[in-house]
Amino acid sequence: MKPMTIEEFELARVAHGVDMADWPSDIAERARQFLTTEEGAAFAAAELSLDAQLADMAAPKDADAGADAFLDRLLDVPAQHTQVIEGGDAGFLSTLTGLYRDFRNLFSPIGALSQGLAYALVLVVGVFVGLQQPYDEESSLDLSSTLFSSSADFYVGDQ
Amino acid sequence: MICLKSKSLRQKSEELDDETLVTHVAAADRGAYAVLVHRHGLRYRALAYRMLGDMALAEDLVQEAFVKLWTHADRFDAKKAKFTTWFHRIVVNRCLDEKRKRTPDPLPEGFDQQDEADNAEDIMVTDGANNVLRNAVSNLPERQRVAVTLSYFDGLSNIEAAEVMDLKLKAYESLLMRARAKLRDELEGSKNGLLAVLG
Repeated sequence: MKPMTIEEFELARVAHGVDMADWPSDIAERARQFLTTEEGAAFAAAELSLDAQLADMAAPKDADAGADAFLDRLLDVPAQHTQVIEGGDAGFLSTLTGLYRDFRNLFSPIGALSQGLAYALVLVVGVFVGLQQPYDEESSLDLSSTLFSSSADFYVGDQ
Repeated sequence: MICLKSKSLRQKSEELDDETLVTHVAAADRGAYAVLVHRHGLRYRALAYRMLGDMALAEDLVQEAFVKLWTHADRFDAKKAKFTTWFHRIVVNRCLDEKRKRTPDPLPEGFDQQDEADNAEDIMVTDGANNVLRNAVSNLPERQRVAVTLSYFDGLSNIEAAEVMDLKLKAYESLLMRARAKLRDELEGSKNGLLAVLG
């Protein structure tokens, strides 16, 4: 059986907890062998000392001081703050904000398809409405007729 | 949805899990909110105190987190995370932001700072060995300190703590192992220093 290293022992403690009874049997067996060595015993003692100090530090002496007053403060929160109900009776600004928030939906497959259909619909309706209008020659205007005083202007370069 | 505003229903709500209670809170149920406060308020205060070392500030930050819970409970998605994981993230991130903000003021130019640090013997005599560990924890890199706080002071399992820190389990265990190694080295160094002082 391959001897356990300090790093492996430490990782096993972190991963499986301090109680070796909870460790996988093969790892636990290697760990027991490791602990019979001088290096293993010294390391385990340092680990136990660290665990004990961490446990001691975990229980702050003044943990309950002011606890009731603090809980009362927390219980007062609903009276002091209004809930933000999204999608509820929102104002105009909130509605605009909501639209902006949903902007990314425009680029989803359904969003892209919907946009395509909307563009096609607007195009078809526009063409259809345009075709319904009779061609009115009176209202048409040739803008180029005002640009040149006579047709001779076209031939200036040739002179 | 059953509203938990009446007293009898509030008593029943004690049996509900956190995630269900949050859905009640999203529907403006103060009874459900009160149950969450009683169930978790002091635990998060202790967590924030551990991270900040200042009880008044810890209370303010945890209160902010509970305000967020009340006002934006509808943002919680039980399919993505447990309530405690979500709330731990809010409190831990808020504490880290606060710690980053609190950078020490620079000393005035030409100020000759007096060395007020106690020697190892004084530390051991006046404050006890726990102070050495407390200093060692506070000197850890930020992520290692959070890992130690979550695992050893807040009592989270490795899986829960890894979720709070948004890490894979193996990465979290490796982080915790490095933190422990640093703490052990600090304690060992302190012990050797004391022995040297005592001759």
